[in-house]
Amino acid sequence: MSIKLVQLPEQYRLGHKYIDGQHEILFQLFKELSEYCKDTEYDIELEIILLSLKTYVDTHFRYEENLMESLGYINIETHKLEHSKLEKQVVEKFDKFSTLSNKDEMMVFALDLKGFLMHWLLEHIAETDRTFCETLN
Amino acid sequence: MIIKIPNPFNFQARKTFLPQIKANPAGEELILDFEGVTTLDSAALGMLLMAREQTKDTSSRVSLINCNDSVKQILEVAQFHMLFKIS
Ligand SMILES: [Fe+2]
Repeated sequence: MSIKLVQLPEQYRLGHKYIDGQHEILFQLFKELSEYCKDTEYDIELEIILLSLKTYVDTHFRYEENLMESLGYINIETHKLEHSKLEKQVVEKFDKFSTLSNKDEMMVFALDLKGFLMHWLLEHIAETDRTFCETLN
Repeated sequence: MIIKIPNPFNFQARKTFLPQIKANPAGEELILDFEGVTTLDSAALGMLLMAREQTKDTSSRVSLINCNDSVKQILEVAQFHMLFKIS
């Protein structure tokens, strides 16, 4: 059984059941962020969506890194470095979130974070994750 | 608190699922009962992640019980055993 890919754009599917499935969930959470920004009465708080995204980015990165480790993947250190750089940036952005006081600022923050993360992830998938997945096949 | 998960577990379940999560009393374990659930999609997986964050202050863990093999497979692909107690 694999996770049905709905949100993950076609050209970013790498043919690895686990990695594609996890990327799909990240894109699902991006969708939650966009929905939140469209609707002020959205049924979930922004902080919950952001925390979910942060938690799942961590979970997904650890999965990829463990897989690389178990396979003795040669580029593991470079790949891990990309992950840790992003994680550091996400922590910095979260620090900023706690200083926001009104809904408008939060909306701007949410859209900015979504844009930043999506852009990062798409580039990372297209280059770094693709290179890794190609060595698996 | 035990919440019965509908089948299929997807975006349609959102309207009932999210208010139920918010109603979980402080300090109580949240148990999600997957009995009879055979299908779940990424919208549902996203809801589970949000449920986990929603109850983090009040409940130490979220348990997913009575998961059948196909549900377990999906959860394994998602690596949710790192985040939830699954049985
Ligand atoms: Fe990666």
